[in-house]
Amino acid sequence: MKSAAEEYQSINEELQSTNEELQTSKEEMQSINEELQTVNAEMMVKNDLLSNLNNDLQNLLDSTQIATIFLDSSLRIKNFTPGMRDIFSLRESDRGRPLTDIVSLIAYEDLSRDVSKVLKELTLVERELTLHDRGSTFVMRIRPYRSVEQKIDGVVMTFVDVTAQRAAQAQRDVIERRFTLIVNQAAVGVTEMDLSGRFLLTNLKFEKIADQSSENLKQLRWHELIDPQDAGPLIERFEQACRDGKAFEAEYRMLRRDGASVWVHDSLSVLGDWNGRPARMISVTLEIDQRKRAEDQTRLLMGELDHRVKNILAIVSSIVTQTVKSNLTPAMFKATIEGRISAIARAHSLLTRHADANAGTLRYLIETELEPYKGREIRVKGPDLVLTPKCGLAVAMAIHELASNAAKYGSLSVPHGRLSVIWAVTDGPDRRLRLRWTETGGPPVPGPPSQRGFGTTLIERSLGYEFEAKVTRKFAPTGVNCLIDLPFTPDVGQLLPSRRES
Amino acid sequence: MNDPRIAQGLRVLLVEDEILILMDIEDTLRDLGAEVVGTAARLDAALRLAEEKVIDIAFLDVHIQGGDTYAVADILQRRGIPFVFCTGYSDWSIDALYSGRPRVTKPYGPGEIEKQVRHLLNS
Repeated sequence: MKSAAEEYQSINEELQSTNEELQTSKEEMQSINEELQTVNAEMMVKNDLLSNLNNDLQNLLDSTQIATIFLDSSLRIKNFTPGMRDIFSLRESDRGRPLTDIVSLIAYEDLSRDVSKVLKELTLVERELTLHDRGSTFVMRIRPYRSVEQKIDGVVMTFVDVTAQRAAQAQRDVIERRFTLIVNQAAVGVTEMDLSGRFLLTNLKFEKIADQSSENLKQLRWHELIDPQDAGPLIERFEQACRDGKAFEAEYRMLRRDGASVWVHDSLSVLGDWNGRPARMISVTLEIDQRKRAEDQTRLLMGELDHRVKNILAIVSSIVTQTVKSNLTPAMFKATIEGRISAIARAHSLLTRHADANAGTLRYLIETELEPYKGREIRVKGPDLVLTPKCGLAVAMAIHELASNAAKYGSLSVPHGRLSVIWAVTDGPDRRLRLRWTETGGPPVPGPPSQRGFGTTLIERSLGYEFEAKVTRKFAPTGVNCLIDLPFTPDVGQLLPSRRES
Repeated sequence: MNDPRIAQGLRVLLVEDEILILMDIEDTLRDLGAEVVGTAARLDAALRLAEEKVIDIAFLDVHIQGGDTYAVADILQRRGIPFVFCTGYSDWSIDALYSGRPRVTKPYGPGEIEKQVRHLLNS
């Protein structure tokens, strides 16, 4: 009994111990359960996170303009963005199919090779694809696809449509080429400078004007090409334009490499950067040396004209004053003054000599003076020579007075009178011009005029005073003759090369 | 202007290469009582007269045959003889060195000559 009781006792103890163990296990289970609940909650959070991430990714893929396709290592389609659908007509059902089977558009010849290269070398392959039937150009990039564990699991291909950029670039190239052509063909100098005036670009014409190579010019500033005489205000103007961005024009003497200077006209405008701030200066240069010279010439000519006109007016005024002193009747005064002024006008044509190549020759002067007596027996003979305007005036006045006297009293006053005007230039070092006026067949000449009038002064004194001429007038009974003999200097005139002996 | 012979006895040198203009000045000066003691149309003659003649006043055309008459002006200045430049050119064509000198511009009438004579006599 005792043993049985002991056995029970022992069993009871065992049961108790088991019960305690179970109690412990239960507590442990409870604790594990709690832990699992925590883990579960954590998993829930992570799951939410992942699903958010997944959403984000999907949205990113959907919204990106970059068409993207994910391939496994055997080129089977894993995933793609909507862009691929639009461009290459991929459908959802194409997932899992090899790319090469379905999209011949992208399945260019070397696709498999490029993919294996990417997978093997883990590099990036970039190609430009032109889809001729669509007229589109894409930049295609193939990259290895790395999983989270850094395992390479296929490739990612992206397609960026660069059709617009390529077209813009082509357009830009055309513009650039057009610009270069225009600039280099331009008959004006074209330059681009920075705001310190340093030359960045120069065309051929500018290099020619400045007599510098483009390399030399790139070492120079605009300021350095300006003659110091003109530089000050222009440089100030340049700097002002750099501040206010306003175009301006400049005329200055440009210093050439050969040391000469040449007048130029620059039109300078300011080229702004993308922000509109002055960044560059564009200049168009015109060589105006000839214009400047012509202006100087014109100024000189105007001065000369001014002088001559005033001189002629002084002479006319003097002739009027002197003629008034002759106490002529109004009608005779008018005729005399008119005759003398016409003689001045004829002599004046010596100044210009346009219209008629012979105007300005001594023969022309004499013939025009004797024009009213056409039909009379008149001989005009001598070598071709041009007179200076000054001498031409004195000769014209003398011839005029001789002719009008002859018409009044001498051989030109009767129908059968004769006149010969002959001249010659002597040879030798001290050349002289000798002109002989001979009247015959007129009324008998009673002798020299009783008083020496203004006409006599014009014939005898004028040439004598101004050109050291000896004027000898003889009143022979058969007719008046007059010898004018003066040194034939450059102040008097010069012989023309003889065209024909007359 | 009351006495027309304001230049009575004045000895004048005329350098002018245009005889008709010369005659005009000559007549005007004679009417004023002056005596024209020398006329020259050429520079060499003008230089000689300016150096040698006894002169009270002179009229110089700036541009004559043989050159400009500035050298003649220099001689007159050295000798203390007042003179007037005559020219058909406007002011700018007179050498800057002499631009302060009195001058008459062509064409000029007797009034202008008389005014210049008075001016020279008062200076």
